[in-house]
Amino acid sequence: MDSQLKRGLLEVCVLKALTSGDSYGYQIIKDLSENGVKISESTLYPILKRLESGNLLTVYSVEHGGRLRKYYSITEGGRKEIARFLEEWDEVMKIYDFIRGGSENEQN
Amino acid sequence: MNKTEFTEKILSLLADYPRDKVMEQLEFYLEAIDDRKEDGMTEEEAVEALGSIEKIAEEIKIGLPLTSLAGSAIKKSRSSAGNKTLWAVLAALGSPLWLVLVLCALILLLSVYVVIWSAAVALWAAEASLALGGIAGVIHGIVRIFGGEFGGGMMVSGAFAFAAGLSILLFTPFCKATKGLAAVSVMIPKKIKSALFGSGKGEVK
Repeated sequence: MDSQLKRGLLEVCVLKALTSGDSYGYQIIKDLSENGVKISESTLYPILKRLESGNLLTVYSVEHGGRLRKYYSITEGGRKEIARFLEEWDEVMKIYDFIRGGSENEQN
Repeated sequence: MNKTEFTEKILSLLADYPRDKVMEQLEFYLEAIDDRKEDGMTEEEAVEALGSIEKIAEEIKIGLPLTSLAGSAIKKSRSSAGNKTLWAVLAALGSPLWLVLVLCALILLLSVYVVIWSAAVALWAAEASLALGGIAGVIHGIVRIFGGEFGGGMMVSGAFAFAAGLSILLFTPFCKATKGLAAVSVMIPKKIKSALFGSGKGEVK
């Protein structure tokens, strides 16, 4: 897959993972993995940074077992981004169906 | 690789950058190692699961503030006679301006010389054509006289004798003019030098 496209998709995936509640790095990775999206910290880290600088999520620290754990929380802007993505991809899906449908006919 | 080795490896890969800034970003990954351990993995497995260390180092580097990146690049160039790349880039960035100016000056100077010497060439071309043409013409006229065309032949010889005579007449003035042009072409670089580098005392003639 085109790397830019993939990165964009992963960003929305991370946002989605936060809609069910604030989460932390490793938990996000586990949630995504359960849904078939496999990424590692080295991919997740820059995504989280980008989302934060775009104000699509916020960060805060919670004490956990004698150390500090960073939690990420989706913002209103983040939720709008998910909605925007879904709208955009409705169109993409129509195009996909068209291309898919067309080539099926050709195979007949 | 355990957590300590992982940290050391990252720090050594990013040795050129401020340690505290690197550590700040490293926190994210160290946290991830701890979280995985909590989940039941061993430290080695946890580090492994993070992915490529080189990629992590690269991401941390990119995430560093611009001032840190620039500072490290400058430090490098000072400490080693060879951050040749940085200086080459700076020189290249700087050079177009002065290089172009120098080239323009040289081209200008060259064209001045070309003008002077083409004037000289023109003078002498005219001189030669008058002289040689004149002689040729006179001979042609004589040939015609002997061929029976006295009138035509005389006219031709006369006209071209005039041309030949003109070339003799012009010879001395043309010599003087050429000497003058030579003097000008010598004077120009001197004037330029004194204008650029002169102390302002006295005039270069």
